Amino acid sequence: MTKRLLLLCGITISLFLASCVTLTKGTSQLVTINSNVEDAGVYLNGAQIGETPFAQEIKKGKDALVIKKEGYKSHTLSLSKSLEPIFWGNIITGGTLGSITDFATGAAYSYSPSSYQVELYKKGEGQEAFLNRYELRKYALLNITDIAVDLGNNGGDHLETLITLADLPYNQQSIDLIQSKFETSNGNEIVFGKEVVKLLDA
Amino acid sequence: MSIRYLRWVLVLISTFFLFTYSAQAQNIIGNKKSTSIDEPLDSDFNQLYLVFAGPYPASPSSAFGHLFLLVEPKGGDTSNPQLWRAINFAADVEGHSGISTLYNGLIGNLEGSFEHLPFYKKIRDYSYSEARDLWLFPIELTPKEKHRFANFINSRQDSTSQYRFSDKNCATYISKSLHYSFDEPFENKVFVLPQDVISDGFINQRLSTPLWIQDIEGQLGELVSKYELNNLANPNLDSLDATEKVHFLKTYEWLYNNRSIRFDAEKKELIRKLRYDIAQQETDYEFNQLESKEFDIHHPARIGVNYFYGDDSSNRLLVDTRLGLHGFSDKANTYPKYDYIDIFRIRAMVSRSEVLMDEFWIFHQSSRQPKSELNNPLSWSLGLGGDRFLYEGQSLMALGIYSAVGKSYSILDDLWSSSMILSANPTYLEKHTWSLIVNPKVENRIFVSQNVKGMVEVSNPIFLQSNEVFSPRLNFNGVYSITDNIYFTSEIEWQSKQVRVLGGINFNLSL
Repeated sequence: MTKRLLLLCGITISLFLASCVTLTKGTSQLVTINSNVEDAGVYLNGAQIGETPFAQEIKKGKDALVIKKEGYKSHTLSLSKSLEPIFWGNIITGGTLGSITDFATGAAYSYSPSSYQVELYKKGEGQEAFLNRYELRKYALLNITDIAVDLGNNGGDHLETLITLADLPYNQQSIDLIQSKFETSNGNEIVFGKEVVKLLDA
Repeated sequence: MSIRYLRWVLVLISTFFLFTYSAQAQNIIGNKKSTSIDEPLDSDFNQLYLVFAGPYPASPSSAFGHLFLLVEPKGGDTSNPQLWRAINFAADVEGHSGISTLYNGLIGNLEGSFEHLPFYKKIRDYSYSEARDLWLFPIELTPKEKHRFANFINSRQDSTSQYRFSDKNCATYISKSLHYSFDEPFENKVFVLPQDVISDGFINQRLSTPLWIQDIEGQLGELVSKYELNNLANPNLDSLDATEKVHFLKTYEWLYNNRSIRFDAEKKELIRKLRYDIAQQETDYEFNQLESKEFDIHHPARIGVNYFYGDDSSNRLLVDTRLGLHGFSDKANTYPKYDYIDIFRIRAMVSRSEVLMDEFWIFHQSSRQPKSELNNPLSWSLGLGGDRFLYEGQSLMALGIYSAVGKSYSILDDLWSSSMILSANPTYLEKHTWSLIVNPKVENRIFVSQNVKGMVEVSNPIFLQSNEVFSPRLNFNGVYSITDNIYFTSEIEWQSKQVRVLGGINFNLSL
């Protein structure tokens, strides 16, 4: 009996370890998609299943969604593509080189589990403008807590980096501007991202 | 060992990796270079750093770590390290699948180049996404050497070079750039590994005490434990001061992003409110600060020669060869202290009549992070290879997958830690058949000083086919380090009235 119990424990551990590769349970997962443009269509296998901001259960294995909006280049969001090639690149190379062609139709990143921010490329938009917007929003989303801390302290490295990415001088006026954007967002990372990228247009 | 053979060892390691950890990068979609720094490097910079990113637990073949360079501009420009220029040599794998990247990287059919990007991106990649420590070694350069360095880097800004995992990798090109700066000859080797570059004579003498950015998991470890136990489920916000609110938020982000713990809409709203609150208050919160910290690392290869005695009166020579980042027998203060990583290891007993394999690992990693609190991080081991077990009175090799989980506790600060581990090893048992070996064990590590340490391990391997349940095994290990790279080891093992004793000397070697 003792032996069987121990073996059972062992098998459970093996299964536990094996299951480390599966980060979501069940046959579907809740996928949240936000985009730089409102009401972009979300398509699965050619059929529209929603619009951004999007939050729906998606069957596992259905891993390619297309995000479309009139006036913007369509972007294919692969929910499993993240396994490669970045993964393999990280093996020994310590990271792969970025590629401009990756951004030819927009770019996406996950800011929390199964939550994606898609940056669509506006037709006719310059590459530099797109990349600046992409980087600024991404930094704001991923570092919002650190930026909030720096705002409370009226300065800090994260705040300085954000202001630099917004192409503003790092001074009190810029800090106040970011503070006002933060207050408008009410601490919501998506809204904060939208607010700060407006600075690039100003 | 021929170069061809070594490359196939890498293939095996990476194949193993493919089947075990294929989802580790799930949060990195599109996390590529976007806004790189295009301006040429000005030679009038303040300080150059050689940055070592520690081992990546999710990647056996990145267990040696990674190297890149960091340029701190003149003081008037910015004191914010996030905006300093990181110079990273990486492979261009666009258009390659994972397998294609692996194959082409092994045979040297990839191209790589230097990319220049703000340091915050590297901090995010390594400290956050991959939970690696970052060590920033200041490199002493004369103005002339700075000029040569800038020339080298600028001359390669738009060019590519051959990339091969073994000898034309990040460490190779970083080393090459530094040798060029020092006006010293650069000799390529069969393998070029980050720790070899750090300990390279020309480079090492120019390095001073590094600045350290602890990986985010390490930074948040204690906070997570505290708030998981207490405040996270039902935080009493009124009782939290501003700094505690920040700790709460950082913990939340860690749990949410790295442990996939889901929060409902109410909890998310609470988080947003907390963010809003802390943006209105001053805090003394400090994360990601650069901290000066002593760093020791040893050469990656080891050869050990031991005298072996078994109670069947056998006298043998035990030869231990190993490639890896850190093992328990390495000096106590070498990095990383509680992660033990063998990339390849063969331990063989040699007598006049035969050679017996005693241990064999294509890869084996154990992580023990002892803490003084109950709710500490998981300790684990994972390996592909074989170890020797006593099975029905016979000493047999068991080849297969070795996996284990458990907990480690700090009993007496850094002096004594204890780990309770349960392993489940599906293996092929020499001369028999497949078997599952379940092995509960208690490991006690005692660090008497930087140079003297020991381990007492009690385990009880149980085999699926055997009726024997109680068969305790007792191991005593002792290590005395003479230098970072030379040390004596001794081991006594007792099981079922059989004893084996060994003792010898080991050398860590550069490749």
